[in-house]
Amino acid sequence: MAIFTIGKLLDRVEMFENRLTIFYAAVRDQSKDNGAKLLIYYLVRHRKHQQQVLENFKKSDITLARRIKIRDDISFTPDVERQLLQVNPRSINGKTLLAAAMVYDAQLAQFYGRILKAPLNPTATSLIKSLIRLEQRHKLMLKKLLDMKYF
Amino acid sequence: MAKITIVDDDVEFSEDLSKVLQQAGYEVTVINHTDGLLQALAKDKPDLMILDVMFPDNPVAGFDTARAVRMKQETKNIPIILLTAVNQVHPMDFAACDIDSEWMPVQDFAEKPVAKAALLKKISKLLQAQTKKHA
Repeated sequence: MAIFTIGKLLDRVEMFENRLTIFYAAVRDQSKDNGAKLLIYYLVRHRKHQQQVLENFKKSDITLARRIKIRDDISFTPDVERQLLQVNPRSINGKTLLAAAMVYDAQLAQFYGRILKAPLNPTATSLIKSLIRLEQRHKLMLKKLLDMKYF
Repeated sequence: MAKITIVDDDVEFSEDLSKVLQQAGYEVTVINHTDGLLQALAKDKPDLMILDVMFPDNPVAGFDTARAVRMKQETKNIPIILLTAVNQVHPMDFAACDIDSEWMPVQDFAEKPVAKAALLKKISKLLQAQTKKHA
């Protein structure tokens, strides 16, 4: 039976965020859509905010939390893969980006929520809850932007 | 006398700011657009630049310009203060903590309206750091 660790699951998110960052840079450099250009500078900070959440915890606590084993794999296949990463960055507009980012935040929160169902230690629970709160805050900000109807 | 370039499409704001900086003893150049800006900076070689973010044709022209400034040999060392109202127009919470070498390669970030004293302090601090760097 395969054993998964919290660390491996979090690495999946990080690897995906790295791909998103590369895509965002391509949009920044290629898109002619002003909404997309503005939004991309906002969205690229998402990974940094995740890192800031981790920095609020002791490195040793994170190391221990990452080592926690869970029995069942939790897949992470966000729709943004199809919505954004397979699209020509030149043709992306702000509305598409915003919609995809909102779905992504919700799916990330769901992913973390599934991790939370596994037996974790208090630090790991606190860490995952902080990541969920970040996604919830991020989604609220995106909703505010959506309501402004600029994009 | 240190040279400061203000790059902002708001003519009234940039003229007012120019007066404040001149009274503080700086030599000031105002540019109200980003067309040909890199060439102008390379020629004028200011000691510091105050840069707006949103311009009429590009809502992130300031961010784009900052990156372009860093990539050009003649301008890459010019300290930049972003001075912007972007968060008032779009609730995006851009802040000094977002400064990084790849996306926002500037030295400082301030929001409009900015208190004169606070801005002068930022300018003085950056110019002193620049002087130390080249000493």
